[in-house]
Amino acid sequence: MPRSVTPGRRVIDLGWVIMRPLFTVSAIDPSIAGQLADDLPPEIFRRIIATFEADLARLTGELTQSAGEGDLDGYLRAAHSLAGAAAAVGARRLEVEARTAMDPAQPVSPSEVLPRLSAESRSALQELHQLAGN
Amino acid sequence: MSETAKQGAGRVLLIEDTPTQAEVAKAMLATMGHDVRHAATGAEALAIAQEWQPDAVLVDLELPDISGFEVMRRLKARGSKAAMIVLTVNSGVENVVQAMREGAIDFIVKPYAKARLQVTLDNALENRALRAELTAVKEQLNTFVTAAASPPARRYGNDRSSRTRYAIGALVFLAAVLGLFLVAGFGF
Repeated sequence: MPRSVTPGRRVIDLGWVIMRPLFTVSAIDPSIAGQLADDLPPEIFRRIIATFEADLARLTGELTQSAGEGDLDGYLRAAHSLAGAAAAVGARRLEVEARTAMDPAQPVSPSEVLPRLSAESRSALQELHQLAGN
Repeated sequence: MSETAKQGAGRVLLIEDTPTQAEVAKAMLATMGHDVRHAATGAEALAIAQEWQPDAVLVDLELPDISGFEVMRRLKARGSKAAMIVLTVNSGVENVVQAMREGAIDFIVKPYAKARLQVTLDNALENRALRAELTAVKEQLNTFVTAAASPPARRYGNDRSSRTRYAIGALVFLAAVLGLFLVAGFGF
């Protein structure tokens, strides 16, 4: 039997649906990604997204491999490149995660960081594709 | 006026190892009308600079083979006149001071907007053009001062035929003077 929903609960749920976008931090920084989309021809912007996608695949692969082999230098190098690539297209949450991964002051295990990097990568790509009108 | 027709377009060598960052910078530079070449390593950049002679170099400090500082050092040692601009995520004072010591004219903190890149690059290219002009004026001034300080050019050169002509001329002149004296002597 379906659970009964009180009118008060309905109002709260509806309010959350409406207000949620205001409290959700976008995966991309509109002042960078939006500016790129405005400044560059659409096909060039799409090419940049494709390059970013290829970088993500390569660098997350390098991160996973370096973490598996205990290669700290390789891990930090890949995290640094990932942060740079993310920053270039305004993928700010991904950049923050990548910088966290390479910050010696806040050691975080790769098993914690890698899933977060993957999730942020997906969000950033999704928003960039939306921005490009794909 | 289209952007590509803007003044100050030049040959720009971009040294950046991360493909996404390189792609973004190349796209921005191309829309500004610059002729761009890209190197992903320091060694590749030095090879391109050797044969292409860029007007400006945009260099990332962290490269896979040698540092951006080392690239600038080697370019300077080879007599490159390119305006060098450092691309960095770290805008700390020490980093910036070292960049200037190695010959950088300016620096850009990553990530950057197109407007920031354009202003920095335009200033750097203008600065380079003014320096080149100053060097040319100095050379002209040196030539002028040297010419003014040296003795006037001799009427006759130092080659053998000139000396012979000079001697013959002198003999003819002496003969004419003697002739005049003789004529004058007979006259008296």
